[in-house]
Order: sequence, then C-alpha cells, then structure tokens
Amino acid sequence: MNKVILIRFNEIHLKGGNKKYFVKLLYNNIKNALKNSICKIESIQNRFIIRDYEDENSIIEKLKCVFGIHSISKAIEVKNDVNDILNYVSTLKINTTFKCDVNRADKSFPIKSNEFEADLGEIILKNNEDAKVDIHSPNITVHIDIRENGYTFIFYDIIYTYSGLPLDENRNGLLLLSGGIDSPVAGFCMAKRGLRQDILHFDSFPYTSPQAKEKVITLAKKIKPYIGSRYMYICSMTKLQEEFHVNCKTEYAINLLRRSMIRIANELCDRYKYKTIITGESLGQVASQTIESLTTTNAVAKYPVLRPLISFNKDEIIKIAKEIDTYDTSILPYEDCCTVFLPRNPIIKPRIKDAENEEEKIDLKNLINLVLNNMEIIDLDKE
Amino acid sequence: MYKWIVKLSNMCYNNHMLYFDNASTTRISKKSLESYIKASGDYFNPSSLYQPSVDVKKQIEDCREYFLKKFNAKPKSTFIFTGSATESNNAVLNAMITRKDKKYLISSGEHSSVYETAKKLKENGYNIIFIPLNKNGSVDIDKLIEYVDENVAFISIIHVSNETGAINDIESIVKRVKQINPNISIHSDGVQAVGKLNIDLTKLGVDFYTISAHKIHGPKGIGGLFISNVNKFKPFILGGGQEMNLRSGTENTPAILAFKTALENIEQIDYSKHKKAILDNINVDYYLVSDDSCVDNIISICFKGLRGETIEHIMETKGYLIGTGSACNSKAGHNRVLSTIVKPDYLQGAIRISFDSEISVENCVEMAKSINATIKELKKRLNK
Repeated sequence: MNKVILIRFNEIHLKGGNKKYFVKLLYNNIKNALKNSICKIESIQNRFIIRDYEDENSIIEKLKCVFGIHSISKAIEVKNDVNDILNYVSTLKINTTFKCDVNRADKSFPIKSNEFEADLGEIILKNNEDAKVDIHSPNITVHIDIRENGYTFIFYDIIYTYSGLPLDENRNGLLLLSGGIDSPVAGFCMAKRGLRQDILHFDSFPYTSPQAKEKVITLAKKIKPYIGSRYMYICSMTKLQEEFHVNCKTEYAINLLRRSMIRIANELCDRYKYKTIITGESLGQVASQTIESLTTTNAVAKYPVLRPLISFNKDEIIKIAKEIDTYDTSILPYEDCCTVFLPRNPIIKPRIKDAENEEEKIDLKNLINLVLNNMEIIDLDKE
Repeated sequence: MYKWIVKLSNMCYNNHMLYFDNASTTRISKKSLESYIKASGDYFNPSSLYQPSVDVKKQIEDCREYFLKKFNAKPKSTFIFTGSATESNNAVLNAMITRKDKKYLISSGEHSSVYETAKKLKENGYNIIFIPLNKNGSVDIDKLIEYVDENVAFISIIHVSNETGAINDIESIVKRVKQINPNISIHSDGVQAVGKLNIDLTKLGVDFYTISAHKIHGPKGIGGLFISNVNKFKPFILGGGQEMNLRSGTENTPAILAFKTALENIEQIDYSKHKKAILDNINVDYYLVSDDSCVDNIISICFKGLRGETIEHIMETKGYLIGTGSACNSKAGHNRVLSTIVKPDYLQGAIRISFDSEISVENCVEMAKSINATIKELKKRLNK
C-alpha cells in the first residue's frame, strides 16, 4: 500500500498515430516541471504515477502548470486483489453521504464494476455508523481505479487542471510581452495549446524607468512555468519612437511603433526559428486594436500573428491574470510607454498606404537594424 | 574588534555619482555607522534584568535625554524612538483623530505618511479638512485660520516641505491657532527641518513633532516623536510596553545610538550659494517652485513639455543622481503636492535637487550645465 499522485490526460488520447509522441512529450514536461522535487515518475497505460515524494502540495502546484494534464488525484495504491482493496476500504472513516465508483480497466479483475461497488458500499456502511449512501449527489465519492498494470488506485478528490496540449520544443513562438495585463495572459492561452514561447519586450529608456523593465522581467518569470520560456529579448525603441515623433504624423505614432515591433519580431523569428508571433491584442480595446489598426500592423508580419485574446473582454482577461498570478505585477504603476509619445488623438482607422508613406519619411531599415544590434538577451534559466 | 567591519563599510563610500537627492535620503556618515556597529555589540535586550541590559537601557535613556535637550522640548515632554517618521506620523494621527463630532485640519502639503493616513480616516467618516497651499508649497495660513474654531481638535502641518523646501512658520501658526482655541493639539512633521533650521520646540509650541535619522546622515529604520503631554497620546503599536508604554517593540539600540551620533554631528551649512550657483547657471526655460523663502538645500524646478523622469534618467547616465518629486511617492505616477501649485504643462517636467555637505558649489555649477545640455538635447530629440 503506497501513497501516490495519479495523473490523467485526455486530449492526447485522440491523437491516433501521434499518441505515443504526445505521451512521451507530456512525460518529459512533467519530469522537467518536477526536476527540483524529490519524487519518482512512472508511466503506465493512460496514467502517470508520482511516488516516493516528499512535498505533496508543492508537487501538485507544479503539476497544475503542466499543460496536457487533465486531472490529478492524491491516491492510495494497492494490488488488484479483491481482499487488498476490501481491507483498505474497510479502514476508511466516512461520516456523511457517499458513493463508490469503480473503474475496471483491468478486465481480468474477477468482479464486475456494479457488483464491486455494492460490496464496497456495504463494507463502508458496516464500519461507519454515520455513513449514508447517496448515488446522485454524495458528499464523498470513493473512486476505485483498477488499472491494467496490476495496481488499483483509491482516492476521493479529482483536481481538474488546464488540460490542453503539452508544450513542444518543436512548436516555438515569440510572445510580445509588455508590462500590461493582457500579454502575459495571451502567452498563457497559447501555451495551453502546446506552444512553447520565448519573450520579446520593447523598452524606451530614458522615457521609461528601469523599474518598468524590472516589472516585465518579473512577469516573464511568473509565466515561465506555463509557457516554458528560456530567452527574453529586450529591444530599445527609444530612437525609433523619437524619429516617428519628430518626423511622422503624430496620430500614426502608435501604429508605426506596432509595425516596427512586428518587423523586429519577424527578424527574431528568422534568426531563432520561431514559427509564430503572439500578442495580447483584443478587438476594439484601444485605438491600436481596431480591425483597421490590426490590418495595418498585420501587413508587415512575415509569420502568423496569433491573438488569443481577440474576443476576450477585459474582465475575462483580468480573471485569468489573477489566476496565473500576473495581475498584481501588471498593475504596478511603472509605465512602459512614455506619455510624451502618445498622440492625443491616435488614428482609429489607419490605412496601410498612409502608414507606408509615413515610414518613408525616416530611415526605417537602419533604425530597425540599430535596435537589433543593441538587443539585450536574458537567459531566464539563469535569472 | 569592529575595525574590520568599518574597513568593509568604507566600500559604501566609493561612489562616483554626484548625489543630488538628499531630501530623499542621505548617506550614513562614518561616525554614525561606527556608532551603529559598536552598539550592535551591546546586543542585550534593554528590558532584561541583568547588568548588561541595565547598561544598554541607560544608554538609550541618555540618548532620550539628549534629544529632549537638543530640541529644547517643553517641560514634561516625552520623546519616543519609533521605526520611522512614517510610523511617528501614523501614530500621532491615529491617536488624535478619534471623534466624529470634531474637525481636523491637515495641510495639503503633508508627506504621504500624514496625507494617506488622513485620507483613510476621512473615508472612515472623520471630518478632515485639507488646507490649500501657496505657490511655493507652504500652507495658506489665512485659509487655515478661517477654519479654526471651537470644534477643531487637531492640526498637522509639515515644518519644511519635502517636495519644495517651503518653510511653514509653525511658531506663528501655533500662536494664532491657540489664541482662537487653546485646546487644539498641533503636530508638525520636522523630518526635512532638522539640520536645516534651528529647532526649539518650546518656542515652536507644538504638541507633537516628528523627526527621522536617515535624512541627517543617520541609519534607516529609526525615527522619533516628541510628545508634549503623554495623556493626549495613545500608543499605536502595542506589545511589551517598551518606550514608557508608548511604543512597544524591543528597542533598536544600534540605530538609536547612531541616530544620536548623526544629530551630534549635524553641520548646519548655508546652501544659498549652492542654490544660486544652480539657478544662475541654468539657461533654459524653467519654472521655479522653491522661491527665496524656502530652505536652500531643496530646489523644486520644472521644465515645460518634458518629463522629470526622463531628465532624471539622462542625468544619471551623466553621473548625477537627482530626484523627481518625493521618492516615497514617485510610484504613484503623479505628484500630489506639485499638481495643486504648478501649471499642467510644467508639472510633468518637475525635478527635485537637494544638497548635502559633500556637494560643492562647483559641483552645482557643473550639474546646472549638465541640466542645460540635457534639456536642450531632449528638446532637440523631441523637436520641441
């Protein structure tokens, strides 16, 4: 009889011929998430088992960040032996309504699920004066999961996690991370679909403070366990912003800045083989996120720009930000874009042609090269 | 025995930056640091019964006597050590603002530790009135006097503004207020006044006076509060009954002794030449908040259409550390005090320059020239 943590997965069941690949991926991701925890990980058919561990709660917290896991349970492991199971169940202390739920994956187990549930219920009733059966809405469900590997897992609670797909080294994206509420959530949402991401941040010192940059590094560290990021690129947009400010129509300032951000992201995708760019834009939230603005920005993208929050309301985004613990950092007051550069009336319906005309007023190519040449790279594993 | 620590601490004094932000905090002096380190060896709890504790307790009481004497506190006054001036201010306001049928007058130019406490109490239903300021950041005395009547129980007015250096004439304010209603208790936050003005608490006539060590080259984490009549005061921090049952918590002996050393070694310097050197040498358009009536060691000055934060960062790259408004408040994104007295187009471009004895007049000339270059460069970069 052992205490174990039982891990289930769902969507990767459906991957047909690729199932093996995904299971292996998930196994490796779990191993990686628990690399600093004392424990052993075992793979059985359709389940992973964590055993010989020390800090159960910290392991469960870490597992909650691993996408592809469907649910987790703290369980007791016994042999697929009728007496062993009955003996353990007879020790349970239950003083409320309950039911037993048997899952007989091991078809060689001699008693059918329904009959075994009845046997187990009887034992519990015999040993617990205050226990009462309620098969519709019991306070406690005793799960008995009889597996093909010869072992049975007995547990009460199922902790549901984010599901999704496991992060994959071969599916890389570049997350444009600001100091705001939205972009960390966007990274989280894409990671849920298995997209591993590194981070690109734009800074405009001395118009913004070093504190603003530190804030974004804190955000990067907070989302790292979810998005699996290793590198953070920090690009100074100061010179570019000054040039736009001095030479171009002020109402286009943000639009031109965002186009430059995408161009820089393009370069990094070329250089480091990222397959997609992720932003936290939400349709209509601000002037730079109207459909026309997005069209103008998108026009310079060489890679698909994924905008997982496009249909989200602000309160929906905030709810996730709070859940992944980025919200309190995001609302710290250090601005990441100086008000000096914010036009009083930003254009709501920019046109690609007009943006291009504005860009011709400056030496954009050289300025972007300058940004890339002065890029700072942070290894988040060493932070 | 502690020489090696002092040697190590010398590393704190290697700094190539010129520090013009002394209103925010000051560098601990060598003497104060030595006191701190030496007193750290006397680690005994002053409340214990054995002889080493009795000795430590005596040292603390000697310090208390020194503070009371140095500031010429009113007879029967008490002085308590606190964890910071912020704590002293919180303690006074929370002890004094207790009745919903009374009025409380607070200057709009208070440090945030007074202002935020008062704001919270106002939200809780206490009748708190914030008194407007003059152009230099001092409180509008006539407006204040208009509000004074039988119903007012407590007034708090900062002695020297941490934002602008404006001096409030506490002595005459106290006289005028007490003529109308002698029962009003008056508190003044003297954190920026210590070392810059001669402070005689008997003459000032206040009931409470707050001071801090780290603004006068003492250590951080130690403040103090003068209380003229303990019967009017209720402790803010409860526990083991230290500090005559007025502020619990084991006494911070090293910081207390280092605070005393800092006070003993204050050099009251005439900074008028420094201020003049800066103002004479700045040749770009500016708006000066700190007029001639302010203390000379703080200059609040604003540049149109620019941001103080940007100027601060560029000046840092040139080797000068300056402030943008009160550092304790810079997180809030806007300057509460300046926003009531400076025009909006100048407000964002406010910087605060503050001296100590390590800054020479020549340093000020250099710094002013560097500001000129910074402002011109920025205006060019932004086509202003």
